Amino acid sequence: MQLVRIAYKTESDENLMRAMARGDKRAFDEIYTRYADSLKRYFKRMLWKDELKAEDFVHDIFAKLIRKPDYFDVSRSFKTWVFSVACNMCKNEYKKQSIRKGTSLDIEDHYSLSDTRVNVLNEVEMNQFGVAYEEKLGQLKPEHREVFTLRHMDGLSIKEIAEIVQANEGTVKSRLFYATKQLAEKLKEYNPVLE
Amino acid sequence: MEDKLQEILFSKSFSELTEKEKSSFVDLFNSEEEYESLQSLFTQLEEYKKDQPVASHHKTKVSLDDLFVNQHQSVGFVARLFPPNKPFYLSPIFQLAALLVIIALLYPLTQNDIEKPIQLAKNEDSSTKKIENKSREKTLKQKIVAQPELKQPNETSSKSTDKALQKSNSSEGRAEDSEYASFPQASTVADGRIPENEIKSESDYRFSSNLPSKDQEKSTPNRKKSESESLLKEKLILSEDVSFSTVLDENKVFQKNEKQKQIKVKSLGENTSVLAVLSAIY
Repeated sequence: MQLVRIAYKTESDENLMRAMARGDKRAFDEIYTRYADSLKRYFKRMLWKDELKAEDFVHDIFAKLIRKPDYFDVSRSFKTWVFSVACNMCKNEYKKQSIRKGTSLDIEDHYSLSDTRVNVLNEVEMNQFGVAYEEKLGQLKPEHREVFTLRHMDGLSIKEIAEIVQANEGTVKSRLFYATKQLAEKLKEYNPVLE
Repeated sequence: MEDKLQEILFSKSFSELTEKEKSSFVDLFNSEEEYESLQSLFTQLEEYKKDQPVASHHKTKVSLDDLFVNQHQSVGFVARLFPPNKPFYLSPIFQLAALLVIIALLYPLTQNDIEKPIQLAKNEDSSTKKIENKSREKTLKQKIVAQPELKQPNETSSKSTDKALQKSNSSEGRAEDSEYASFPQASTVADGRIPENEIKSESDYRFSSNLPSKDQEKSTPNRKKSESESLLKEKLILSEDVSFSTVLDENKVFQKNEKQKQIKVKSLGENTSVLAVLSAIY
């Protein structure tokens, strides 16, 4: 029984999840406001910049939380857990796409699809850093891309990323180092200092 | 290490870096150009994060809210008792009611079982009564045995009349003698009495207690006759009392058994009626 009123804004994600499992609507609202945007960004990056698909995936992941709140292991961090679920959803989507297109299971083929989209864009957009960044990011290996975005776009720690991608911290650091070096090299032409 | 790199990139230029800092990040950059490219990447990335127009659709939130309400609407107590998606016989309220009916039907049966020990206790009481009656009987016997000795003076006073009567009924007296001869001679005591455990008939009793025989009684005065008769009656009543008390006890047990049977039959009838109602509902 809840005797003390929950301070939703300052409450931890795990406590909010417990309250949500009991049917607390405000706890769900708080969880949604905390993670909906970052999850959508993550899905958008991982799913070939498809905004509608990213929106659907956000809906699906929160629907899972509503229907089966017990799936969440309270001993774990909610942030890492929700991103690991998102990561698995993306992997499943890659498999689906590869079967649909009759290609191999190599995920890199899917990322090459985003390159064709970028080529359609006009030259003005290409000059923008954001477009170039997304393009070059898409050219990276998925494991490198995933680690880089989780670290620099979603602000997760090395430990959290290791938990999400189910790899040790050393592997995550090496992937991050490789992705950083690759991007820095490819995006040096967009360096405003050099311009 | 990652945090330290970003801190250096945002705060220092390549010329400001110490040798230690340069050596720790030697894998990432070796020249000033590489360092500056890294600097530009992270600064622009920070700006890109801020400007990134990502906002989830309002429709998604609305549909999720509806889902949440539907999911947690049925959590209430009444809704749990009457789940909308289940048939009525699977609803918890129906199951609870059925359980209560079964308990109500089984309760009288369990009550009858509890009464049995009380019945046993009553049986024990009757047995003690029997023992008490036996002891009373013994004491009365002793009294009866002792009484003729006290009445001896009356016998002596009426000796002459007795002798006359004996003479007149000599043929009958012989018959009495023959009756006495039939008793086992070995068991007779020296004073002419038969042991109590061997008393089988009225004549035995008369013989053992030195009472006059039936024929002798006819000749004795009415007073004496009435006395002996009253003693005999008392003896008979006692023996009857014992048997009658046992019969009463047996009757009581029988009546109780009958009552139990009636209750069982009633409860079975109720069971069958409830089952019939339930089957009709189904």
